[in-house]
Amino acid sequence: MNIRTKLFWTNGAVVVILTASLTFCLENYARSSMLDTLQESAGHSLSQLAENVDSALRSYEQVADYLYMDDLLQDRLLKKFDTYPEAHEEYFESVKPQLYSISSSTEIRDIAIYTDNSSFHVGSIRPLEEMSGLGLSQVQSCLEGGEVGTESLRTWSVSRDHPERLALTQRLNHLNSRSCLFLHIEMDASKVTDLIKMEGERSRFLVLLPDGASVMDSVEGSAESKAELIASLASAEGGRIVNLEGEDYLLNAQRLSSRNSVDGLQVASLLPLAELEAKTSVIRQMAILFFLLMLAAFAIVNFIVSGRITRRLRQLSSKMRRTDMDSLQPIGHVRGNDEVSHLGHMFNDMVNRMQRLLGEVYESELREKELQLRTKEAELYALQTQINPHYLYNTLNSIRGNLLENGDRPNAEIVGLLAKSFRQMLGKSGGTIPLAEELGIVETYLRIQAFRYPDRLRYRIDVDEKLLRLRVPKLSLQILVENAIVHGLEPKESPTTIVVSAEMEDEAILLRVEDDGAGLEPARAAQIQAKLSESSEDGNHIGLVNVHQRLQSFGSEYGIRLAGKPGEGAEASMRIPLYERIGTT
Amino acid sequence: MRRQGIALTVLALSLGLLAGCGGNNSENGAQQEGAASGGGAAPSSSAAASPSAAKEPTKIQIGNLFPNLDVNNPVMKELSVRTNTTFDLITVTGDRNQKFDLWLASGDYPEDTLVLKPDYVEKYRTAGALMPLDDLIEQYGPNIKEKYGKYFDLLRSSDGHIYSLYVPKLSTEPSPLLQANFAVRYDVLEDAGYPEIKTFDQLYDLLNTFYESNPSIDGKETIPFAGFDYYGNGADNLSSPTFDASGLVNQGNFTIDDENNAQLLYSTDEMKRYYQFLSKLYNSNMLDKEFFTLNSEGLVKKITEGRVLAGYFPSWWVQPEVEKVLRASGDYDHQYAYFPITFDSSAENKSFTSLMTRSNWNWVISSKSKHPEEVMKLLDYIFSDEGQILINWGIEGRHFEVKDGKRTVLADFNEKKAANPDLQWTETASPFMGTSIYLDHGTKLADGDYATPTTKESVISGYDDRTKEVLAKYGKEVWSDFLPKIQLMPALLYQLGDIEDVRADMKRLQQAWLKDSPKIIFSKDEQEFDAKWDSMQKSLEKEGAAKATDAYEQLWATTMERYQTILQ
Repeated sequence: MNIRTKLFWTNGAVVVILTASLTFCLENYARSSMLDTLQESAGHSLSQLAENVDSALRSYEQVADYLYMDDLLQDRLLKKFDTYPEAHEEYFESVKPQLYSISSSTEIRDIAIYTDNSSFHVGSIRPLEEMSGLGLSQVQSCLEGGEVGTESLRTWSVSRDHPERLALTQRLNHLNSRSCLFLHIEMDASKVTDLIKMEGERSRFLVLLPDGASVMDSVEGSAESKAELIASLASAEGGRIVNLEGEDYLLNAQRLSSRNSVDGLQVASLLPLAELEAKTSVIRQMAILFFLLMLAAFAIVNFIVSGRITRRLRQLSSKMRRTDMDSLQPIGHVRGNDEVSHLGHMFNDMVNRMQRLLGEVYESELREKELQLRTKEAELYALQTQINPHYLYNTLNSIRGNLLENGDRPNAEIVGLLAKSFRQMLGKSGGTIPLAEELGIVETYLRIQAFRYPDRLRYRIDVDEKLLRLRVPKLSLQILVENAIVHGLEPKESPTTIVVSAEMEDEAILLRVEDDGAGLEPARAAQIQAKLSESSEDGNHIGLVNVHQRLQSFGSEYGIRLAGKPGEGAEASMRIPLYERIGTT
Repeated sequence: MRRQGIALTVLALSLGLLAGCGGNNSENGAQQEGAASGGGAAPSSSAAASPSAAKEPTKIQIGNLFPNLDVNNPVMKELSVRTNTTFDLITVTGDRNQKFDLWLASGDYPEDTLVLKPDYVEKYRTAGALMPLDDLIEQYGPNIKEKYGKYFDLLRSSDGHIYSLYVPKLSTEPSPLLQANFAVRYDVLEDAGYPEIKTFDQLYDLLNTFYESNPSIDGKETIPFAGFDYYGNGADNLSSPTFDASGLVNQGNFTIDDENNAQLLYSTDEMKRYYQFLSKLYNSNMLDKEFFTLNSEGLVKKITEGRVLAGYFPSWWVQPEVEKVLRASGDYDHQYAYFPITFDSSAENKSFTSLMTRSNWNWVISSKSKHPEEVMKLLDYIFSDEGQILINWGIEGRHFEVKDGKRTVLADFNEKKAANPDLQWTETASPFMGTSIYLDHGTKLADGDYATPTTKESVISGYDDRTKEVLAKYGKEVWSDFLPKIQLMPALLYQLGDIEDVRADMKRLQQAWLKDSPKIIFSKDEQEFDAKWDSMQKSLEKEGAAKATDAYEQLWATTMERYQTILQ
């Protein structure tokens, strides 16, 4: 997983968790506060409803007030009539118009006066017996005969014959406190229920009269659950949750107590909790929707930003990966001024430094080699300078002279050869000399050697005149001859012949030194051949190596080749390019 | 690149913001929705001159006479859909006339349309509460014009303008629901061997016999003859029976003879004769003491208690209020037979009339209406054949079907109706039911089929077996078979409304009459009766009987002239 993905996911995780918990908390809070508000408002509207019910009822009580104070009417009602027609006439004359005008103006469905005055039972004036079912004590005491009480009466009830009507009963005993006149007004309960319908269609309402009879309820349910509900109303002021027929409702109840006649009347409302919660569930949906939208937006932004932040890092990383350890290169300038660019700069500095160090090591190695070379050169030079050729040559000549004087001719010859040899070898230092000179050196050397080995050494120099002028590396032949003597002659007891020859071969000079000496194992020849190509540090065969390598530098076909047969002899051959190519080395 | 990033971030953040705000709005919306459910009436949309199919339904406020009507029953809903309206019913309860008067007093009559009797149409018109309908019918009333044809002027009132709508009488067959108004209970007839009652003497004797052997029923006193106060009117209890009993055309408060002379009913011999009959009953203890004070509900109660043997029960009351209830409760033996009883069985009985129009409960458009065109369109729709089928038959497939090319009430709906008389309110009723906007039973529509399900066959099939048995005893199939010839009248006096000049006089005359009548009827003997009758006549004279009579006689004369021209 790359850093960008990590950054994306970590960021995402943190933000999502934080936002989710924030949204959750806020949503919960909002919902509960909304629920509270709704409940409160339900309570308020119930209060208002109770008020409305109260005032609806009050308007009818005003009719009762009016008739209660109407002494004239009560006087008429208490009159005794002899015949029915008389009573009938009185009724039509005075009572009926009054009752008619009252009921017409106030939407009273039925207005009746119950009296124990049996001589005046006409039309809306009815026998008191018809009221006995209401269970009113004042009525009962009137019916029983004997002493009649003087208590007043004003009460609301549900009409017996018409359960959809509310009835107000008022005792009309203002004129005569013992009169058994009872006013009974019936109105449509719809006056009250219409108030309720305006509240809302899904809430359920109950209006209970003080005597426990329910005026109106829009609660659907069995009688038992309703009874339970009614019982629980007592403690429902301020809102409670009840369960009715499996559904939860918020129950609010209000008790009227403004007047004696309505005291104890209860108005209750049942709000289905599901409905309340449905309203608040909108909040939840919106919260979720908002959260998801925000999440989507955040994902996009996060993706982009994480990419941008980590881009330079990634670029840096990919550049670094592409760096070849073997050929370290700086990765190029990283723009910016932050940690990433610091890294870039540091890397480049590091690379540069490393390059410099590598260079230094290489250089120092080279210098060491050069030093070695210079040291040897210096030694050589020191040797060379220490040995004044004239000094040597003169001394040797003196010796030679001395020897000659003494009559020691052989030794004088040797010394003379030695002096020659020194002179030749320490002569002009140069890279190449004409073949003639080289042959001179070789011959001198051979004559000296012949002195050492008088019986064992035989030699021959076989070189064409034409080739004498060609240039060859100084002391190159001499080395070969020296080797021939050391490795060919010395090990062999019997006489050895050394032949030095030279010939032209394909634009090169081929110099050959053959001997029939001890010979050379081919394996050994190969070994030495191999060593010639190496730049070995040991002092062995420095000369051969030196010459061979010098010649090799002009081409691999040049150089020294060794060959031999053990017991039969060896051949060292040297191919030298024509002096034009050698140049002045 | 940087700029892109910024732009994208800004975009994303603003998206988030929008989502939040949008959330709030829909939340509020949801709240408001919840709170306002079941709230007050939405304002009705303004009427467009030329309505298009996608227009908002117009809310029409209708004065409705039927408290039990369910405004959401299938017929009402269908009517809503067909006329692109919704209904706001203002229902009249209790005393209708009182209500109409109070509405007029306060100006709180329904905003769009209501149904009134002709006298109240006149009252409302003079009070400026009605919109003249002439132009509206011209533009939006094609069905009205089509139904009236050349008799279109029958809709006009005396000043030449049209103020109310009612259908013309188009049927050629008499309504099978017609029946006489004097009712006698089956068991009483059975006891006497099913005599055909033709005179009041017969009636009296019949009742007397039965009463003597059955003075009480279930511990309660038997009431041989009863009546009720006609929703506070009281007058109809005395006037209508007088006309019927005398074989006269019911012209309201006056009698009108063949020479178009008018006489105040309260002064006629006919009334006196009827009062004598009532008085006789009273003195034999056979008249309900509450004859003058009982209301409809009270009388129905007494009937269902089985106490009432006979009475004057007009068909428009007895059929819905009594017959249905008795049939539903299975009290078949206590149903009533209807006889056109008169004092003089040899004289012609002209009391059963048929009018050129069905003017009775007429539809008006209130002057307050903000969209009278829509109201007219609605009323006009009811005039159309489709509308008639909807309000009379109901919805095809639910209430009726077309079997063998004829409309027939669905059998199971019929059964349900018989078992539950209140089913009509939740199924087929409308405010237009029973008013003057439905074509009479027996009328045929353009498709040749009946406008209403009530035919002779349907009536017969609606009879229970006991009824059929009783009818058979008289050799009749339906109660209308008892009726004498139907008199064709152009109009009736009481339909022509009040005459302003004499309105107060009429009021006083009526009050004097209503006050004195019970006294007269409760007289102990003939002497007292005559004295009290004369006394009433004196009061009537004093209150201006002559003036009123002249005025109405004049009105009748002019009306007759006008109708002559129309009907030519």
